[in-house]
Amino acid sequence: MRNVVLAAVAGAFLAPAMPALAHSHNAINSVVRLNNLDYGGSSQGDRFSWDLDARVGTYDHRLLFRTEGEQIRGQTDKAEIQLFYNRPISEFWDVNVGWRRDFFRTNRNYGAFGFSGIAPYFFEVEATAYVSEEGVLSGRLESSTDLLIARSIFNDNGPGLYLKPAIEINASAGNDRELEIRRGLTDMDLSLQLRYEFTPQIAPYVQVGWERQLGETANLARANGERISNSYAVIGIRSMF
Amino acid sequence: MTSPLSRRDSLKLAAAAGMAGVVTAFPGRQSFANAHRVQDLAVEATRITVDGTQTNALTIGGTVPGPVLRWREGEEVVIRVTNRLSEPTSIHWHGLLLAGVMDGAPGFNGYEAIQPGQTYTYRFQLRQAGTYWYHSHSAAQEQAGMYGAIVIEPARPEPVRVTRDYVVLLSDHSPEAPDAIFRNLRNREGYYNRGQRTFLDFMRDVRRDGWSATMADRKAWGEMRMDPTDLADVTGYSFLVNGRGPQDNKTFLFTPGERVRLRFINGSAMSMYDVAIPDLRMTVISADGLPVIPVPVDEFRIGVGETYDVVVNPTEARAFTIMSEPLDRSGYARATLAPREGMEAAIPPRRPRTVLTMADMGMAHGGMAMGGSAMAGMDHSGMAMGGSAMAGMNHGGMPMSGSGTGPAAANPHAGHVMPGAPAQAAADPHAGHAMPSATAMADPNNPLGWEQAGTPEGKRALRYADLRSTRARPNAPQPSRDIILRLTGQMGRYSWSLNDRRFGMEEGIRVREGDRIRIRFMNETMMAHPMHLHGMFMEMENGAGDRLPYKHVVLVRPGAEASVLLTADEVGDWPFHCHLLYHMEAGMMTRFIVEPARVASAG
Repeated sequence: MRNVVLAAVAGAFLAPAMPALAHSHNAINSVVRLNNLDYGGSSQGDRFSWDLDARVGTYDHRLLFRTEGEQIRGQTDKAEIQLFYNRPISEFWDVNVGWRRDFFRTNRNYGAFGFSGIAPYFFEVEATAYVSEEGVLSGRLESSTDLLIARSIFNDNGPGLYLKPAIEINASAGNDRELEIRRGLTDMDLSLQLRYEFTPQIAPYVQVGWERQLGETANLARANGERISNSYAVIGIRSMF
Repeated sequence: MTSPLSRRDSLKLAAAAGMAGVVTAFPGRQSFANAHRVQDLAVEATRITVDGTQTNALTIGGTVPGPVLRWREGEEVVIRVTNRLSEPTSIHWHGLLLAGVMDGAPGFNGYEAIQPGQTYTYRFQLRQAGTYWYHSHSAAQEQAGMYGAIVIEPARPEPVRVTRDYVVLLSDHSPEAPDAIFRNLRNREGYYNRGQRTFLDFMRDVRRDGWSATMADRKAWGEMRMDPTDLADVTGYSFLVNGRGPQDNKTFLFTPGERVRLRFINGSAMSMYDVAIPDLRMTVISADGLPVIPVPVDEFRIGVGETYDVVVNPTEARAFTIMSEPLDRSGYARATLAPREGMEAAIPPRRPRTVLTMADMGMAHGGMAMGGSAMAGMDHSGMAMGGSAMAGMNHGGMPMSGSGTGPAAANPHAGHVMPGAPAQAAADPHAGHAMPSATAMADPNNPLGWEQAGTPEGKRALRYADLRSTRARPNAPQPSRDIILRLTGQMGRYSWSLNDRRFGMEEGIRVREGDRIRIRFMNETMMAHPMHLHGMFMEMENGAGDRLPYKHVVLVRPGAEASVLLTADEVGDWPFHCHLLYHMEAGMMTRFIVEPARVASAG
């Protein structure tokens, strides 16, 4: 299963990309975006989280790498990496094909397929379906938007003060005993970030959020004596380079 | 003194060589014993000082801008350009009629970039007079300072007599490296936009225009995923006159009563300006190098790559400020006309920055070209359904308007001096839709629409329709066909294209030598694009009858249509592109291929 997925990703990226790279007006571009790097308190203890992505490619073909995770009270609660081949399919939408690997609660590989882009009203949307190496189908929907509250306040000529509401919902079509996931909606994360961009490279923020397990997954956690929700308040920095 | 080859023969030869991809006849490799002028120019990296701040620059001839090249019509010039950079370079002679291999655009007409350490010898005969300029056509080097003015004196005495003659070269200079700017544009939409509308603006608009009008406006832009404050992709520029910043205050001297010719050249990478000299009327005498019937104006808008020659006649012994404000009002270029060095006049109040409207999104476009009937039936919610739906609608409808109907609708400056509300409403059946109110539109402090230059009341701005060539051509043949060139792009990805194809993915435009054609620009984006054709002048269909002005750059306003005629009498494969540097970099370029009427035999 793993080999099949990797071969598909490699083939999809390499074959069509080659002719495009030959032309200077399609020069390769790259960017690393640190979307979240923050630390603070939560109802389950101190919390550290990260979300970083890197992309490299031409207008038509890109390779995307993303890693995100969180630690609560020094215990890694979630850590994953994803590698996608990304290609535009319309003015506002891209298709993503690739691979995800979870490191917690157990090591797990997934094949991934999804769409990302900008929905009307400037909502950034990412919808991805995953098939785990255990054969379980799951899905994730993420959306956020940046509301510009005020232009540069400190005369720094930066973009200004943003409010960013964000939502992430996960669902599973089957049970995964090791991951303690049951069929149905599994968990969600709501957050609100207030960010000041001195420059796009230096953008500190404060963020509050609420994570909760849902449905049968939540019932299972409750039965195991675990807490099913966690609210947090953190400070962090966003950057791109 | 004549060359062994006639001009026309050498042209064909060069073009044939270029097309075959074989270097057989570089006129530049001939001996230049019979040239009238030989000029050496070195391209090198250095540092320059603008308003007391040092930045990196690439220079031609050691300065920014490069030296003014003063030539005479009819003479043959030889320019030896030596590349002292560590990367390839090139120099393109913007607006000059010459053999393709001398044009200086790498990858076209058999011309290849000048490699580090190499010298390339340009050699061509000057077939025209007027104000032109030169710049690098490699990567984004032009942005770093590689540009300069060309002044060609006419072979016969000028009908316009002046005592003083100055070049006023406008440019935008950034402390950032051009590659970094391009990367930022690609990596984040609106990276440089410091004028985006905020929640506070929303509250202000609600107070001013009411809740429902403001919501309707935000809804329309939100549905389209477009930003009405996107007037210039790049900010952070210093705006220069002849390489001098606003504090440096470049001064042009005059004695009261003298007639002064100012040759305005917009050598900027990305910035277009509204140019005015408060208290001094200007008479526009030429556009893009070639003479027009004089037009008195108070101000003009100049697109990237355009040139305008104006004559002023200051009679008082006082200073006048030459004020050039970029469309996003992120600064200004300033120079002074004064009887003595060191004098200065007041800086006029800075003009407000306009906000784009639905008309700039192509709503006016459909209505104007199709008489409104096809669109009248559509409601607004349908129109604002998003980029792809709109694009489909536009080209579906456009070709229907047929030949000959273009000119009336083609004037990209149509609204310049119009008082806003009534003019736009008349031109655009959909104008009122998402706009707050008619009163807001007429408010000089809250200008709406790309056209709105903030022209003071009672002052007159140049319109494209004012430009009339001094040369009447009553018997100009009708075009045999129309070529549609849709100006397209995806702002979010910073992908710019022509007919939805980026350069390298496109097929080019192919015509035969001697063909008379019409090119119809249809701007489907919300930015203005200065479209530049190498090698030939375009006759802009601006309603001037048999006096269509010759242009090498035609500024096509957002969402609008414009058209030009041309006789394809210069064989070669010529670059045809948007002169906004990073739009060209992103792919907004194509080949304009003029095939010889009879293909020259290879032997």
